[in-house]
Amino acid sequence: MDDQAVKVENVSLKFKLNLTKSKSSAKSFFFLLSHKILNISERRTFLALDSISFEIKKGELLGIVGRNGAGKTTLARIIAGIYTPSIGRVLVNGKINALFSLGGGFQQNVEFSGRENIYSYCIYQGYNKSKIDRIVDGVIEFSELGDFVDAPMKTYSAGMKGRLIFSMATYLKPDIIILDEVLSAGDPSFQKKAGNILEIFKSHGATIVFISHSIEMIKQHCKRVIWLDNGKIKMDGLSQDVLPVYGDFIGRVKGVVRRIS
Amino acid sequence: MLSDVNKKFSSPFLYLREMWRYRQIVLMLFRNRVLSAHKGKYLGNLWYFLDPLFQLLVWVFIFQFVFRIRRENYPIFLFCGITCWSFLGNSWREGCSCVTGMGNFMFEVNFPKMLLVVNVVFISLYYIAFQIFILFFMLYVAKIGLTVNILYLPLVISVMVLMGLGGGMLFAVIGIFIRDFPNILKPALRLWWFLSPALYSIERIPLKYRDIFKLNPLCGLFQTVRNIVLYGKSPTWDTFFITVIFGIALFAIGFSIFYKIEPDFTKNI
Repeated sequence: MDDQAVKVENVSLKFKLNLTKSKSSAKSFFFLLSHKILNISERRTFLALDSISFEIKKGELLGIVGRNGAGKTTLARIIAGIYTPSIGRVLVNGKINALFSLGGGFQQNVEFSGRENIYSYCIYQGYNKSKIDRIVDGVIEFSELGDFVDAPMKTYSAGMKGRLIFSMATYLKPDIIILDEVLSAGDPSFQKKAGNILEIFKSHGATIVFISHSIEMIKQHCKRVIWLDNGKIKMDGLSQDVLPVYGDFIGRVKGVVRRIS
Repeated sequence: MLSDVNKKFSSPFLYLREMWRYRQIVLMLFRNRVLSAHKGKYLGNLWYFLDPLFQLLVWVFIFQFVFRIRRENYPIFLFCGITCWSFLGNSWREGCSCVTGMGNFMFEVNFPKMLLVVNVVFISLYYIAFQIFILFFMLYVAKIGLTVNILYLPLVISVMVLMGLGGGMLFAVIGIFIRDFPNILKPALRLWWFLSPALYSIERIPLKYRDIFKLNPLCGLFQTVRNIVLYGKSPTWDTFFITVIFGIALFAIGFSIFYKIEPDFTKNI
């Protein structure tokens, strides 16, 4: 019990979707017009996650794979507390830091400098100013941004934003880190750094949830892999067991569209 | 120790504790807004004073010179109403879009969203601090002294803050589910302003309608502010009582609705 970092208990998530449909035939032009003006739409329920249950031990590096739309990001958001499950619950032990994209965490603050965004980002994570003061110099140094740290972030490349985000994650030392496809983007030198970043997180004893489309990276770093498909866990086991079957699956399946029922 | 990620939604006390933990967000957003509000303008921060003064000038011109309202110290009379209403109107209008205004950022971070409404009310308070200063300056120029009844002012401001917070929270939630709501709210608030005794005194209302008119919570608010500031008298308790009850009720309703529905915000944006 004490060595668990994350426990997902029977989690399901339902969305109510508004689907705006429009007829494209010229004959029903007026029909279309009235639809657009009155914004008539269909409401359907979409089951994004269905009865998901699993546990993650402290210090484990769990990989999550699946096709686009399988529910990986949704699951990541649920663990991070951004979505509340319709059924079930998520228990965690420690502080979570979830990274979904390389620039998103900086919001509309692109007018502000990197340094100011360090404060902004950490404050949104719940840290107070004195703690941030202590780590800010280390963060700037590790990110290797140099003088750019005082330039507005709108001038940054994706790689620079990534270096800043990872630098902060390194210094904030969260207990649980969720990486939602953030290590796949970037130039080759960034890719090389990506592996080092995972090692640094591991050395802190952090529990890592690594979502990726790169089977190579998952194979290299994760002992255990969960394969998500259509909102359900298709396989949960050792990477050497799951990854070959998953690789086969995506090789065979071509462009299957997920039905909303 | 394993604990529920959404624990803060299981009790108001835990939610308030979580808000306290993330309190620096309010300071940061407040600081950003204050720094950028009048940046780059020639008159800079002078606009904190000029904005309400210009507004007052327009109303005084229309009502005192065009409509020929005869009332002693009409500008101060008006300004009492303008100050209160600018706080409430700003809190409610900004409040109803403060959550939707976050956009996709809501999917990147997790923090108690009520802090956004708290931030809006803080900013509104900051704005009326300047207006209260102008008000006292006008009293000084008109050689109107203050009486001990001015000590009711903190109470009145507290009631306004409750109303601002409660309405802000309630409208924020409505604004998420009904995107049209800001468009409905603006004219509705305009109407409410004109139906309240801010531009005129309650004596203008015919006797047979006066009792219904007095049920308007803003009636007690405007009358009381004028009483304690301009006339040196005590609050009009018969109408201010309604204002206080309304403020407490609005806050209670706004808080419970916001706290209960916040878990579903991200699913409906």
